[in-house]
Amino acid sequence: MENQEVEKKMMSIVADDGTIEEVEVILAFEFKDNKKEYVVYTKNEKDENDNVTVYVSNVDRSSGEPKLMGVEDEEEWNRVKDVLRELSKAE
Amino acid sequence: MPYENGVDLVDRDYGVLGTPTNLRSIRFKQDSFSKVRALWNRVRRTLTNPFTKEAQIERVENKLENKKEEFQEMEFKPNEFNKSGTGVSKAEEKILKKATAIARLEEKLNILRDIPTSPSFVNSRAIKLKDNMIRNARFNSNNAYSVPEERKYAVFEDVDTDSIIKEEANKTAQDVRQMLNDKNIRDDIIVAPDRGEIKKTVDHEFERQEKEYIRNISAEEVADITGGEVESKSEEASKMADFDPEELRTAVSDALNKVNVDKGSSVETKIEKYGFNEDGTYRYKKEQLDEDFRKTPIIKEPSRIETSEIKVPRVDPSQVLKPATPEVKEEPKEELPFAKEEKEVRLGFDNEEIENVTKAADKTRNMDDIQALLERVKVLKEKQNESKQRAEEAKEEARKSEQMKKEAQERLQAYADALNEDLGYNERSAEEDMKKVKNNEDLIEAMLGMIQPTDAAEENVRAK
Repeated sequence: MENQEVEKKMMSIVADDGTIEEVEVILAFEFKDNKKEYVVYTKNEKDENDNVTVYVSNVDRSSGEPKLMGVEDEEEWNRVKDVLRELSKAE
Repeated sequence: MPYENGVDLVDRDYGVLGTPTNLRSIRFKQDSFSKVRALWNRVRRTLTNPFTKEAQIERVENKLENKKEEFQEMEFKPNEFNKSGTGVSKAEEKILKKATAIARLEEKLNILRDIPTSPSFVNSRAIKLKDNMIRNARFNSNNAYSVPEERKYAVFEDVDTDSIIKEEANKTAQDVRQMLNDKNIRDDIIVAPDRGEIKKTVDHEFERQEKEYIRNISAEEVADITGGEVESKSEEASKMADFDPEELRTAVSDALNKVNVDKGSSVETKIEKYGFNEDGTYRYKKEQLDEDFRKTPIIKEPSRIETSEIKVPRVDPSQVLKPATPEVKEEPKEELPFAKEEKEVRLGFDNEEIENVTKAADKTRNMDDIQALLERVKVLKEKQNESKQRAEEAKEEARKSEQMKKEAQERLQAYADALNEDLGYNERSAEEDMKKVKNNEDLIEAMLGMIQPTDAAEENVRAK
């Protein structure tokens, strides 16, 4: 059961020009202290070194429907990066 | 799901979203990227896998079952119901602790089964379980309280206490006490207008059960345990149980003759002693009362009836000629509930024996006395057991000594036998020696006999 594959989690993002882009969610987490939720997704873009680019957005559910928001605060962004760094070391 | 770094990994729905402004990005090495993705997928599997959930439910169910069994098997000594400084007894604390653990597991199970729950669920459920436990506990043969086998199912019944409270709100505490005095409803659910009343009535029920238990100990048994120390109390208690109906009839009749409720022909001369008050009540005339008290020996002990003016309702003349004695049903000897006893004792206020019974009833009613008596009986029982054990040990020692004595006697006997045998041998030997000596003597004599003729022949030769 442990080795069972789970379906990739996909998310639809509407671009400024109205096109809908399917992206793969890599990770979603919430800070325990401030209950801020973040989603990490990828468009499977790779650079010349084979590094994968991932995008991080804050999810705002205050209005009921989820909305993607940018991470404005530097301190907040550093905290998110720390979490990603830690999780990438997980075995 | 809780995770490190002060974050919970979550798996929620996003649907279709607009592109955010100021989108931040970061580049991952392929290896790190794979690790993060794998980690989150593991978490998602745990969160969404129905089999995993079922396994969790099974684990919680097993745990809950064990806790419930422990709860049903709880047992409390009477002194554990004594209130502590906080006003809560040790037993209640223990019950509530276990009940809370059960309620927590039930809440967990509800969450796993997606059953809506509320923040107050644990507290309210724990209190219900505690109340159920107290309601169903009975005094058992181990001198303790526990839930009997046939009522164990009731401990987890989801009784809606609030609705019961509303339903019973109109019942007064007096009604509840009356209900408790009735033996026939002993096993029914006891409910009261409020929580405080529930506790009060439950305490009352415990007291009643203890009293009953005490009463069930026979005089012989108590005397045996205590060496006769509490025999008198038991006798007093048994007087209440074995009240002779004939005696009661006589006492009631005497009492009625004194207060003259009935004006039968046999007591016609006493009618003059009574008169109507201004308020229409009937009373014993003061002067006559004084006169009667001069005639009647006054009981030294204070009577329960203290007033010198006895008011009775106006009597309908058509009902005056009633039998002198009210109908007293001759019922088989049985325990009189306390309320009933009290009524009868008030009627026979000058009956010394009934006064004694009253005193005994007062004593028996005193819970402290009962508690002390129970403690005393317990201590004496322990002492008796110790004495028995010591007696057993002494018996064992005596048996061993007897055995040793017997063995010593046997050894002595064997020694004596051996000596006797030796002596016999010696005697036989002496006899044989004596025989030999005798034989030798005979032989010598015979030889001498042979010698004498030889001498005579020698003399003959000389003479010649």
